Amino acid sequence: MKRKLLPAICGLWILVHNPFCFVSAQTIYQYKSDDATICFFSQKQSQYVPHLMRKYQLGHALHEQVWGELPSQSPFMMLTDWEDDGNAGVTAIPHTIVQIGMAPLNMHHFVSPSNERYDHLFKHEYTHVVMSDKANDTDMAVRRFTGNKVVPNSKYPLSALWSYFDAPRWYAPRWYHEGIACFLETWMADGIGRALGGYDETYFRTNVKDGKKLYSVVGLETEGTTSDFQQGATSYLYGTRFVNYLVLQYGFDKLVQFYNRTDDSHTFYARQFEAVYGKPLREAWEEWQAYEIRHQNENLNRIAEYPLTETKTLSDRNIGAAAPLIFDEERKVAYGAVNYPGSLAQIVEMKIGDDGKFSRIRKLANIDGPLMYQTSYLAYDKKNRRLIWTDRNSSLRGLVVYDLNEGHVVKRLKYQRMYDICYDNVHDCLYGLISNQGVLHLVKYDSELENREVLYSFPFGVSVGDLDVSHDGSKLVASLLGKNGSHSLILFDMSDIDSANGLYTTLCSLDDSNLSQFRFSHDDSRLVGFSYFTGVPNVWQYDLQSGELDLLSNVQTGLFSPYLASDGKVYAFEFSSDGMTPVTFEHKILKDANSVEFLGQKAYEAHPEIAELSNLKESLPKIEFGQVYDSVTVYKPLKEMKFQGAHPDISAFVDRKAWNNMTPVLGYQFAFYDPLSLFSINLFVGASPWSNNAWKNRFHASADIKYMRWKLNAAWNPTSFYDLFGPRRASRKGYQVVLSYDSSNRLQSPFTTEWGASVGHYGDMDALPLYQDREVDDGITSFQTASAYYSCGKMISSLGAITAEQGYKLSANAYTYLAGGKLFPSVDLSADFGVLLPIGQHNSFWLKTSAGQAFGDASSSFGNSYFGGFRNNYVDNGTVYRYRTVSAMPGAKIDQIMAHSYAKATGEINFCPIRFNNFGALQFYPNYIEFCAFAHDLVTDWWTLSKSAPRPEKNNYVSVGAQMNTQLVIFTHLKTTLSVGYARVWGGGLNQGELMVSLKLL
Amino acid sequence: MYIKKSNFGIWLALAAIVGFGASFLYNGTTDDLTEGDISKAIRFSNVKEDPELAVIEEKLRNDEAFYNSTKMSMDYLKNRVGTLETLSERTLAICQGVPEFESQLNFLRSLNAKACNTSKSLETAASCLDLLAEGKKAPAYEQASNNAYVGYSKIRNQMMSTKQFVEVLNSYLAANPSEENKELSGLSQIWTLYCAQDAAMSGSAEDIKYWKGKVSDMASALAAGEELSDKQLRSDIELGGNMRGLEVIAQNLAKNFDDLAEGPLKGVADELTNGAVRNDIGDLTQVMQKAFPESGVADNVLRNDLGLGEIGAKNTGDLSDRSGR
Repeated sequence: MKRKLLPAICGLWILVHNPFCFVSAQTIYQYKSDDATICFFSQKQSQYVPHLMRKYQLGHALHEQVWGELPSQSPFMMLTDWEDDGNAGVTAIPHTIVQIGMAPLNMHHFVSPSNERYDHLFKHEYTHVVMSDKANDTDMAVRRFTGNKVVPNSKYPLSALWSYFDAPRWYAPRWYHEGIACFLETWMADGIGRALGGYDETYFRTNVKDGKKLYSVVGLETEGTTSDFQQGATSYLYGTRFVNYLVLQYGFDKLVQFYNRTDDSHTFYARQFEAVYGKPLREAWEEWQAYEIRHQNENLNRIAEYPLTETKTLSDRNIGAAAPLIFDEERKVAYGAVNYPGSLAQIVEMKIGDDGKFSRIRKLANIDGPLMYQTSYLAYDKKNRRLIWTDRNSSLRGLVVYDLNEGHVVKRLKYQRMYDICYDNVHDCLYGLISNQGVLHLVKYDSELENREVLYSFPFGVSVGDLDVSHDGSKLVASLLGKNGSHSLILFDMSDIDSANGLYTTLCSLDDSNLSQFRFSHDDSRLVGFSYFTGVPNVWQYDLQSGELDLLSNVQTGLFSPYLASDGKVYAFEFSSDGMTPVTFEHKILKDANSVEFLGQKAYEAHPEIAELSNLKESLPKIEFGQVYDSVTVYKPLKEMKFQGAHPDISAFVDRKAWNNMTPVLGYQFAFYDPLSLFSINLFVGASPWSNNAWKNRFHASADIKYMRWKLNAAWNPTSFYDLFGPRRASRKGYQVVLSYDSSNRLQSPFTTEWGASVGHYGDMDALPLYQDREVDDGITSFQTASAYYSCGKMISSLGAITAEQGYKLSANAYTYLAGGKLFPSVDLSADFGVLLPIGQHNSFWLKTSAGQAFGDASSSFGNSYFGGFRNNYVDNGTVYRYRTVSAMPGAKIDQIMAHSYAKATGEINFCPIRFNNFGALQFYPNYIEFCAFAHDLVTDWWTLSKSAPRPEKNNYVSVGAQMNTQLVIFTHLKTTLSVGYARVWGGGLNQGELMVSLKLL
Repeated sequence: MYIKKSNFGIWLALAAIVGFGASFLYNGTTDDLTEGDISKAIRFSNVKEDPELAVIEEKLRNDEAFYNSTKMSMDYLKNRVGTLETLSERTLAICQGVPEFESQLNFLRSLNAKACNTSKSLETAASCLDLLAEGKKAPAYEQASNNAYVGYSKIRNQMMSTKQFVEVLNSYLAANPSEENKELSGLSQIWTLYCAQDAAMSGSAEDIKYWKGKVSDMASALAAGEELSDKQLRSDIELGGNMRGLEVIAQNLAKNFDDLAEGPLKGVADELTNGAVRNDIGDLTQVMQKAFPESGVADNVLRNDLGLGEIGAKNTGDLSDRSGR
């Protein structure tokens, strides 16, 4: 006995203390205090944790001064280095998690603030924590009842209701959250932030100049954040603007009343707005719109008081978001990385005609994982005629090499993490910047991109960008951002770099404005870039000989990414409401230009008390380095696992004697997991004593235990909420124990792979686990199953798309029953291909093919596959596109068509969605309507590889149909979709139609 | 224009009024960097001095083991770079003007410049370390140590070309075996020993194989240093008595040259080049060799496995503040 117990105890000890050893070499570390817990994934990062804790402490204290009582739950923070573009995020449910990325913020167009990034991030992100998590007495009462904040789970839709009442402000729209966060990030940082941002002014000034309507408060969510080339960033722009306006008109105290979740505040944010400001939100929003137009017209007039720079458009079309163009003046061609709504992000070649305009824009290649503002980082190897760009820009960047002579991609390098690349055509090497664990390095590659070398390393916390190499290869220029928001142009002499003389020259600095995108002129005598010095992004030049900084343009909108060419002209992007337009203008130094007024400045001048938001009333206790650094421990999921809440729930169970084949089940949900949700247990217990089932089928229980990629599901009479509505049913009589392993790899997204396997035991069953209307063979109620699957694919979509528009997916599935002592194996293969149609925007065509073969006894219910129906429930939680699944055959009844072997092809056209603008209420509005048309051809038992049964008769079925989906948004985050479809099926003796109406929840 | 004394006050007052009025017409402030009437946008700014961000300094003050290993690493680098600086300088002095070495002069000058600059950075970093040991601030430490490690890394990269130089040197000595070239002959042995040590520490089997045939014996190299009457060079070759790791290397170099690639020296070399070298640079320079950011990928694999980025956000979304997506 002792001999058996010892290994078991040892095993249990290991599992509790280091369960990762079985599945991952990764160790997670944490620093835990009463104020916050911070976890990270490399022990080396321990040294940064004290700094982060101090910044958290500061952010927390400043917010406490504004909001009074703060959320009682201390946040769980994650320090990550898994993205190469600065990023941070907050999630409030089930508990507050703040993710802080280590990479520097993207500074293209100087949209983001430029102070020390952790200082900025904690002020901004902690605003989200307060807004999402601060609870009044009512919220706290609900939280006490549910044990914690409930996560909306589409499997149990009642959870969404509990979740809303647990944290109602979490369900406010994005502009609401980002508006206050950008406002406070600015005023808690002495004026460095987007509330005083030049880009924000430029965006609205340009919209007013272009006569583009400003989005309504509902239209912002439905159209603004999806159709605009900036996507979700419009929430930041509009939110910040509206909050600035509110402060200007009504003062900061009222803003605090509006946002603060106090006991006397309303649950719904818009009602709270009306209570504070005495008018509906929509009315105040419209007042702001009118004010904004006046404000911007005044600014446009001020700019026009001095002669405006005449720009000549180079392209007939706007190119959306774009990387700075690279010019080959000898070949009269320019290269760029562009991205605009309705088209895939791509590398393009632009031929320059005799009239100086782009005569032709030709796509060279698609870009996987584009960036929002500059799409990608691009470099040009002129001698070898190669383009090099970065892909997977939102994760760990790779490099792609395109040979212009051969006309295709010749090399792809994963995980290079480079940004701001530029090619030295004299020394035949590539320069770039890399961020590793928050520290930036200047690096060099050889021409084959095989070896790279660190040339210079910057101290922790320093941000650098806009790297460019001179045409003679002797110098590198970059913009360096000081920790206090200053901007400097710095110059590296390559001979100093070669001799390890770690010095650079600071050419010029601005304390509170930017110096961005400076590039060498064609003769290397000047640097030309842009600055918001006047509030407008105008082009400036720095003369390397005289050291003078001169203004080259005076425009009403803005100019970005300039280049001074040998023809004496400056090439640049002119900002428009739909993105960038390539333009050119004469090189001329200007002496006169007016500045614009900032809305945020007006708010400050009207209410100067907001400048006090950065001042601490009481000094904070100093967090000593060692106090944090020496207290870092290993994070153990099982040890950290806690009871996270419980709530009543309703579900359904099969009842064949009931009029609708189901009976309601009342029960209770329980949840246990660790803060990172690495280890979770979800339990459900319920009963349906009123059903017609046998007593043993009137009690229900299920347990889902998940650990990393492993999942164990054990259930007695498993239930499903959606069986309440039918026609599909997932509940089954009997019991089941299924162990599964599911893995995926998204590191090279959009290319993804998924694979997994499962084994299960089923007992006391009366129907097949996968097919609700197929009863098990007589006498066989217990059986075992095993399955395995693999799929890979690359699905891509353009800006503003609602579903994948181009790509492919290949998959293979194997499944077998072991029933009555016999094996019933089957195999399914499928291949899907899609292409974005060159007609209009967002129209795509897909061809989906599949084939399968069962190898068991065809006369047994276990030995076949079954097809039929749209397969959507009246109320559903699965994909609305159920007709795309292999077993769907719209028109036929569910599982009506039986096949021992089959081949199936589906052709499908998805049409451009229609987006609503100002339609619906603040808490409930439609987002879009989309329309799809499809045709299936299913051939059953055309062949057979199985010799165990007589060959069934061959049949051919054709199904043609269409479906319309309308997305409805409830409380901003809870998206539901109403689908209506009709299809008709012919063949195999069938000639019937099916009307499908389904509401997909969550 | 002549102005009557009695009217001077009136003119002055008028000028002041006009000036005062004009100041209202002027919009904004002008930055020193610009000329003319280019007005700067008025934005509230309360720019303060750079907030202190001294992670590495604090770590050095608080983590004794880290301080000691950094100190050891600095001493080690100083020793190696100092040796190379002297060696390249003396070789350069002799080889300049000798036609056979014309093709090698750029290599020597470049190596010498790197060694000189890296030495300077190491001096600065070492001074900062002393200040930190005294509990004082040393804001120059981080950049100086970065420069030193990057410089050392560049030297290591260039050492790959040393084979060619030593071959030229040896060919020249073979063709000119005169007494006049005794110093050069001694330098050749020291170059060989230096490169052998470098190979030992890099753990490169190919380089070890190449250099092991070149080192005749430790004693003759040391004797060569002795004969050169250069105390600095000699002590450098003796590898410094206070450096545990280097002592081991020196001892093993003589005894276990055959097992350098996988033997005990490998561990010592790893300790010196990995453990003590500052995290980011040390990590990165190693990572660079493989062109594969291990830590980042490990993080990402974890995220990928667990869907950490989707915690709590699977159905609700999260407030993700991405700067450039």
